[in-house]
Amino acid sequence: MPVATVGLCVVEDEKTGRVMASCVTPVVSEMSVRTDTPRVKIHRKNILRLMIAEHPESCVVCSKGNRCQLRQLAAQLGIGETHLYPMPNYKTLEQANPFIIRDLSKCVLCGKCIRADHELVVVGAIDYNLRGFKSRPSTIHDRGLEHSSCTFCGTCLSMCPTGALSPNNPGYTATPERESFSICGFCGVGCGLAMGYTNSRIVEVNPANRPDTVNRATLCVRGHFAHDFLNTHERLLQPMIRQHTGSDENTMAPASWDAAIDVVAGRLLEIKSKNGSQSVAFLGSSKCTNEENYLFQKIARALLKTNNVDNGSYLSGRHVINLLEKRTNGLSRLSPLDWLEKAQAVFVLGADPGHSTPVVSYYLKRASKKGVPLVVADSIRTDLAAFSSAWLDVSTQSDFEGSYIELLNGLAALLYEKKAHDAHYIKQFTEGFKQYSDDLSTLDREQVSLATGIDVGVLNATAELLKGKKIAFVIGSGILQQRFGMQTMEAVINLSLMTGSLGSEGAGIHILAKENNQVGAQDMGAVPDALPGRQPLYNDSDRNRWEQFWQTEISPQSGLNMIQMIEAAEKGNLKGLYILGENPLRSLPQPDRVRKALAKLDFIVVQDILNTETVQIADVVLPGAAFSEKGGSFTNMEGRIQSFDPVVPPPGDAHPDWEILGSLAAKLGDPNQYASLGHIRDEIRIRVPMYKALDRHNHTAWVAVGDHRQSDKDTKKTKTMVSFSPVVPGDIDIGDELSTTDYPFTAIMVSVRYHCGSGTRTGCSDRILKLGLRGEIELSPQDGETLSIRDGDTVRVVSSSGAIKRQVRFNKRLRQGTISIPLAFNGNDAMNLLAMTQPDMPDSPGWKTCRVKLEKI
Amino acid sequence: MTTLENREALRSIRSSFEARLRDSKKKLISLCAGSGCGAYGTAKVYDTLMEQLAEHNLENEVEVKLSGCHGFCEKGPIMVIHPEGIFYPQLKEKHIPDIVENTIKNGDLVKKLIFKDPATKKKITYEKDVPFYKLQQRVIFGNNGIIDPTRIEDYFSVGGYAALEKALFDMSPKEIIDEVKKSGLRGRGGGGFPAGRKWETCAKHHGDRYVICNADEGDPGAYMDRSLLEGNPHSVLEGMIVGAIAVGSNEGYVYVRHEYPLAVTNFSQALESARKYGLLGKNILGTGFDFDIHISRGGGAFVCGESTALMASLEGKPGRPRAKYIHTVEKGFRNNPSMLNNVETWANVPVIINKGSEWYASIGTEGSKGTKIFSLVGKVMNTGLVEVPMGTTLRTIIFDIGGGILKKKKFKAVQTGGPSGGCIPEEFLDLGVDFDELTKVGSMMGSGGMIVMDQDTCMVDVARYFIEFLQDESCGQCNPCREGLKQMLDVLTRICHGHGREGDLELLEELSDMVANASLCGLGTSAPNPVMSNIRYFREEYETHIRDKKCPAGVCKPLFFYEIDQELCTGCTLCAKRCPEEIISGEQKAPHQLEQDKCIKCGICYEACMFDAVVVK
Repeated sequence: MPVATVGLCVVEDEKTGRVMASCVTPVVSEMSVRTDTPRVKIHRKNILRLMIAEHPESCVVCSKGNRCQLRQLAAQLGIGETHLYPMPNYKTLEQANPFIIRDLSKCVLCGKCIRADHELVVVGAIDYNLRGFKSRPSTIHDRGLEHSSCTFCGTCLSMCPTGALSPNNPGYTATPERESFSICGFCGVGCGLAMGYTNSRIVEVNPANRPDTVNRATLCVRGHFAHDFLNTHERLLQPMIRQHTGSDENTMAPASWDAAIDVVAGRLLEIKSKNGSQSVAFLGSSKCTNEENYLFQKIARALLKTNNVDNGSYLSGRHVINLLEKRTNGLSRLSPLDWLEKAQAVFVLGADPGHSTPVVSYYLKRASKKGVPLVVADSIRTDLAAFSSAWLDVSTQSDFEGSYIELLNGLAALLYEKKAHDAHYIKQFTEGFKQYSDDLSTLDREQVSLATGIDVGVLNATAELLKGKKIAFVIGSGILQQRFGMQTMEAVINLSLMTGSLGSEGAGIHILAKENNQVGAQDMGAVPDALPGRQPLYNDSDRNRWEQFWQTEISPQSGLNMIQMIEAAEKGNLKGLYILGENPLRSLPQPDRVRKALAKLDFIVVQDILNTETVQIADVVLPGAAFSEKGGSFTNMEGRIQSFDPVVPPPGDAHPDWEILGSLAAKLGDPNQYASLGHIRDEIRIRVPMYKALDRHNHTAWVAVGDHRQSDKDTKKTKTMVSFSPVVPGDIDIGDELSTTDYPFTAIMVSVRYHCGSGTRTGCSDRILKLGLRGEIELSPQDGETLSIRDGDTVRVVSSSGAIKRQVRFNKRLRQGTISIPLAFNGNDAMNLLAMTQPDMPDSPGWKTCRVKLEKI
Repeated sequence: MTTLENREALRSIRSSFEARLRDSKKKLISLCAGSGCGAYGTAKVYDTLMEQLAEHNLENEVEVKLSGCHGFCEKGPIMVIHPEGIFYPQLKEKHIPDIVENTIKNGDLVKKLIFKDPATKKKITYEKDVPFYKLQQRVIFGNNGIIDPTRIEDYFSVGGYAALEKALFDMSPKEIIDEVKKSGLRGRGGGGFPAGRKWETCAKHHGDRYVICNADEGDPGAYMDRSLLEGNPHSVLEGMIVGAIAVGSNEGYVYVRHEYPLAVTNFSQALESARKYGLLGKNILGTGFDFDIHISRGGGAFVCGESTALMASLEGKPGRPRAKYIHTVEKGFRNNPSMLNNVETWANVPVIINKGSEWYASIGTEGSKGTKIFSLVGKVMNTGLVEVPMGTTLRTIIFDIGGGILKKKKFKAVQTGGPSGGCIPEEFLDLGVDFDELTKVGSMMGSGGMIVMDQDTCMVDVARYFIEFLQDESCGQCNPCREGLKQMLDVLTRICHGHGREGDLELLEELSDMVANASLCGLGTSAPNPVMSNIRYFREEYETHIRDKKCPAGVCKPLFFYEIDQELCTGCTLCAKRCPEEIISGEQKAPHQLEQDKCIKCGICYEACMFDAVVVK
């Protein structure tokens, strides 16, 4: 709903002569308004004169420059001198935070920032303060933004029509020369960006504010400000080859592209011919484009004859997503986020989108404000809890990860008891309900309450809330990366089927993706067990088609996944590794072990944009391009394929990654010459039915759902039946659990909104670093008291795998016995605490939590 | 106190209290405890009175009542001794022994305390003969002086809750609305919107309907709503319950200024006792009708008197208005149909129901029915609250009831309708005051403020004062009002400081037109009234300020100086004695001199001189 603030939109009613603010006047029949009568023009001019009389005369040094709407309007209405008494309205300049400069002397009180804060991102950090002429947007008690609940998403900043809000950008103070569209390369939301650049350098980032983007006018702190990493001096600028000079001494020397590609192709072929194709592996990137991932896995499969291909999505619970994909026949691939605002009810499980995928949290909070019931289940009280209709504080007992299963089954049992199952849907689309409902009837709700730590009354109220509604699920890393992720997902699917939700608009299963193209990398077959289009290797007909097309033989056996690659390197079975845009030395558990394993390899090539830990151990380094420096497409967590063009050229002698891979493929003997991006895209469109909508001209396309026969969003049309799975009890025997006396705390690994993933890129962002976050672990004050640890003390956190040092911050909302450890700090040292296990193996404790003890230093 | 479970119970309790009032043989001392008299020291007078009565063992012979505001605030604290109706104004503790000794004990008058009419200099013994009261028609305000606002029983004794009874048992909601419609009652808060039509529209819209009382009386100098809430809270409460029955509402709110602590206390107490008697809450009088009222206190923002801002504030949001293309009777508080009326409007409702719309409509003018309470303040002899029928002339109010201008100075203008009203000059003194007439002359009814100005008032300064108030109280949401008023204030201030320039008047007119037309809410659209009406009637005074850099009224300090007229000065030395700067000199009985360059223009000599020898130049 618009609100009238500025008053420049005045129009005149032709009949009554009444002057009205057009933004808030509803149209009625027979209405006739004039927009340019002399009266209206005079009013408009007078209002603008007043605004200019209040505005400081600092246009010459204002970085808003000609983008200032006040200036534009003054020019349009022909106002030079106001002929009024100046009414300067001085306010102190505020620039203590590294992101936003507030110079409220320039504020025109349009209220856009406040409305962005309240209506778009729903944070509530600012509101009007004072009355009348003195009125200004302000935080509570008029303190700096850094002392408020502001998340520095910068949405207000992009909306501000004048220079009242401007980016705190020490590197660049003027207006960008030009602006181009791109897609954000951080999390899996895939926001549309308007990237401003001057002299081939990105100097400002704003939301693209286009209706066909997922974020529209919003963005998060990373998207807005963390792109500083594009200009860091840590960027790789030219190919390098390791020179072995003498005994232990070796150095990296710059090389030409031809030389570097020659070495890579030569060494890979050499290792393959000497040790067989299983001795080489390809670690692809969930940050690279679909086109690059396609090419990458093709090089592995068709040219080096190996299925040893994987990408970073393995770390974010791919096995759980695969399960969902398989059990629903791909029905859940499409889950547009705007469905959330149309949902009947939303169930958020183990997800903290406010930090991991902020734009999703805006959707959820907006939905909640619109009255959509929000059920939030987590073991840490997240920002969403305040917006929830039911907040389920899932217990953090030693085997708590199983309690999500208990919770879901318990709710299902209560709903069944209330006869709130969708019998018609169940009959039409599902199988196995009888067994499932029988199982549910045997559940003891006291037991459920005991296992989840949630009161029976609360469970009942939640069931009441969900009764008769189709449910949209939002699943985060609390489920995806935990020990019982698969079983929990089964329970989610069961509940979705039982309530008739799956396949309906507004009732999707939304999987939060932490990496921008983790969905696309998987779709493109950069995985050890499937071909492009999510076609399993073991499926002969699919495999044969690719064999024919690539004129090669593909083994039906799965290749090595990421962890297996490390293990194979440890054992000496793996000799060569090609790493594209991944930083396993930072993103994998037990980095020391990974380092030792990789040291055993004969040959490592790393293609990246930053001088990462992994780049430093490479034999050949190939400088790639960041997303803004190349074209291609990313597929986001909704199943939206978004194409983009380069904004600026890559720095130095760096090349777009698809070009590098294209030359390598040619060198390795690929008969296809990938001279242009279009060439790769055509191939994908034709050969991968899921991506048939990918087109040279379409910015946005959607993946095809179901068994790749259709593409429209009405997924219900699929005739395949979906089965209920048996009810799994939550108290699964976990065998050799570490004793709770030795390691009394459950540490939960959490994301913070200022970093993405392991923090390789965001850790190179000047403004993020300037914020000076220390990544304190959080602890309940009661536990602090027991251990005589005070707020601010430094402690050692010790697990059975390793130890880290961090400062402590008390969080009274944490349950006793639980601590939270933010990821991405200190070179992502938290990974030292985790054991390197394959998360999809039944004996893996998962990557979300581990048992630790705290030692005061 | 027992819950009244049906109509008969209410009737019997009311008639028992009515009888008690009628048949009482006791003397009744009514001592005004309204805010005005309270400020003059009612509490001390009361304490002394009780002591004295105790001393004379008269506690049981005499009933003492701390009543609501009597209206004649100029002369507080006021005491009226019934049944005779002896009127003692401006009491001090020292007067009490005399009163107890003579009047209470012996039935004699205390001559020196008897009211002397300042206009006629005649002594007046009885309240009913005081001209200030005599010319009023106190339909709404009348009971204020008789009842103790903290006792619901007192309200019963004057026929309280008879309207509620009638509305609940004898009338259908539609009949109530029709009655209000026929009465011609218009909202007393300022806009003058026909109340019946408002009620009717509200009843038509679906949702949880709310009944709201606007007690955010913010006009400087206006305090009739305060006095009603403080002095007769049950009349407002009864009106609201009747309104709730009419539109079918189960929840009501009173939005009252935080600065009115006594109003909050008395109204809260009224709510409590009404609840105890079962007149509020669940199942009122056994009819199954549920209605309760909450009190919400405002933070003192003038703009929160605007209906949509008030509702935003009630919801806990910043008090900012919204455009009213969708009326609050359709979507108001919490997006539900909301019926908002101000205190005085609600207090009119029981009267209309009790006496009938026909009787009510017989009072007033064609377009404005009933009576209206004005708060008569400024340079007038009798300040206070005045209730007169609509259509009473300004002359009657100011000169007959108000007793004319202080110190026999010349009347210059009267400002009506609060800060956003206009100034009405002498030529319209015979204007019959009602909604439409006031609008015609460029002012408005507003909530009934009436500020009388004499020859020593500078009209530019008056405009500046009101614009300053309004720009300070503007919510700051829409730029026309926020910046327009600030610029207007800057222009007026410069004129008052002698920095006015040619074109300023035209600029003021242009800005006024823009602010009045392009502002979002009533505050902005009416804000230029004081300037526009002022320029309309006193343009010359503005021009003198701008061109000649003179302030004829002697208010704008940089624009005048005092001079002692050597012919008129008798050399009484009064001015020299009073001058704080000691810059007036002269021999006794010889004309005095004033040192211009040291004069701070405080005006003390001007006020002191009894021979008009100190003149403004």
